[in-house]
Amino acid sequence: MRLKDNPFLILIPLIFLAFLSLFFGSAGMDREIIFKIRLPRVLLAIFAGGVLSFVGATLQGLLENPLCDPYILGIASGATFGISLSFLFGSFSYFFIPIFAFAFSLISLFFVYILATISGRIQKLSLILSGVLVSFLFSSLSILVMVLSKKQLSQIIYLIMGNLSLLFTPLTLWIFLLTVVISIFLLFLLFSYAKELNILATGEEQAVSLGVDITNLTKVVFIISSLLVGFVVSFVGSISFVGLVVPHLARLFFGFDHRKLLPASFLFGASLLLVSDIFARTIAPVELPLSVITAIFGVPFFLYLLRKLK
Amino acid sequence: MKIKNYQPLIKFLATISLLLLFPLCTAPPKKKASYRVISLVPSITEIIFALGKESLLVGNTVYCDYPEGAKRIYKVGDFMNPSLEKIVALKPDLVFLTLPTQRIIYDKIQHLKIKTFVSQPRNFDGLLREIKEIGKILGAEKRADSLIAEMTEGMKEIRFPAMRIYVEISVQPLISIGKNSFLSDLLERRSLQNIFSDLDEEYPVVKIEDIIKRNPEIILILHPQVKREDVKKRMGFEEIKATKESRIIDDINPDLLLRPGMRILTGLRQLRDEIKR
Repeated sequence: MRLKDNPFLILIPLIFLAFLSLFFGSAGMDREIIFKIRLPRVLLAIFAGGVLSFVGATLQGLLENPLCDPYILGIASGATFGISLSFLFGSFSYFFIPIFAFAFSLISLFFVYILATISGRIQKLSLILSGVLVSFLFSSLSILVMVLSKKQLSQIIYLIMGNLSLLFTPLTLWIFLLTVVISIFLLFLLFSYAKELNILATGEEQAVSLGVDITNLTKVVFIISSLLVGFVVSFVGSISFVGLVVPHLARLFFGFDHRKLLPASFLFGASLLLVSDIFARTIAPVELPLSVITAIFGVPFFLYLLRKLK
Repeated sequence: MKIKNYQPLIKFLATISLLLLFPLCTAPPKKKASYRVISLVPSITEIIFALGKESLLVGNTVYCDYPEGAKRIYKVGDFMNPSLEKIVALKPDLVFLTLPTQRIIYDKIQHLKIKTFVSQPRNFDGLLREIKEIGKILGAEKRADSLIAEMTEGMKEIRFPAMRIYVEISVQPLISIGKNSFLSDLLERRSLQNIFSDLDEEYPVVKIEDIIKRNPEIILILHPQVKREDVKKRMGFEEIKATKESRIIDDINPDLLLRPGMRILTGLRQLRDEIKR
């Protein structure tokens, strides 16, 4: 069996990395620490990396634009703003954070959608442009809100740059697992549109003539994506580049068939985030924000891809 | 493109110029003082008040909230981003600030040839030295000496059992205190052992697993984001000695211990009483 045919072969390095991550750390190999601290963290990395990449691949397919990702479309910044807003209200409760994150990621995506829709059609270029604009707006707003609520600058950076060192309590773990279950369901829902995405790749007109309801598809994908990204950001902050780079990586190996591309993106994304996290917590005696690592890996790789594909 | 109707443009410009006039209304109050000082550091503001020289203080930051009178002093900005313009407009003879946090504003003020006083107390003795110097500068030497005597005496009285302590400054990210922080020195001097005293950074971001591994006997929460109950419920924390022996302290005002000023004695006394309980 060749790698090209079966994306689930990536599970092998993923599992390897997960174990590496479990046994790697400054505090040694204590049973307590492995099960109570590192295991939730590994799950968090797999969840965040996988979901962001999966959503990135879906959005790139839907909008036929290789530059799309949850970040560039403003979803992640919207979610970040929602979270900082929930700080302002003093509700540190983990119930409110995901709700706020989802609400604002949906609002920002809705903004982008309206800004980019010109005479009933989504203009691809204006979609990216308005995404970047809305993203800037919400990033600035979240910094404003955080400063107003007298947060330290380091806290703002860690929220905007993402980190996995969430302190789990049994309650948050329960909420996290519930979120994972809902997310798996949503991922399968997105996956069920893989065929439509494949048809869409052959051209919009062709897709319409083959009976794909593009407007409806866009709406459904947008809502599900916002939900998923809202979940991820509320647990780990916004992590850049994973959602942009990983789908390209997956495409290099598995081609353009979304039925392979989507699961492959999930698994690659999860692996990349596990690697990044191992670096983030061992490279320095203090923990680094995750986006620092993903960007250091991501940017050169992305530039390499750009040159190679040209 | 030719603009035919100028009226909207003129209206727009008029509005803009009116808005530009607005800052004039918030110009600093004209306060007459023989010697004019600005404090960009909350702890220094507290010291100036304790020295009874608040009449010389013409500006401070929004974080300067103690004592009550400090809130009414003209604000030149916040701790991280004080406004250079407002500082210059006050025509200060001396500006108190701290490094490295205020490096940018420090360089600019230096460039403008305004005198500065850099507050950087690394430890308790450093703090006493600073109080003496400030007393000298502001002409309150006697008051400074009596404050120093009072603090030295008070410090001698406070004793702690020799225990390992974990101090939490922030939860997301998880920040504690390192070897070079004022508070770490203060605690170590009083025989409490900071579990992160091997880290050089003043306020390092720490790892959850390291806290558990180092097994502190006291957990001191110095931020309002979580309460004792939340800390108890953290996964992996149930094995820590501090949790088992319920020595998690969350109700000390962080400013008391984190500001190297006059109130550290109050903070330490409260900490001692909480540990005893």
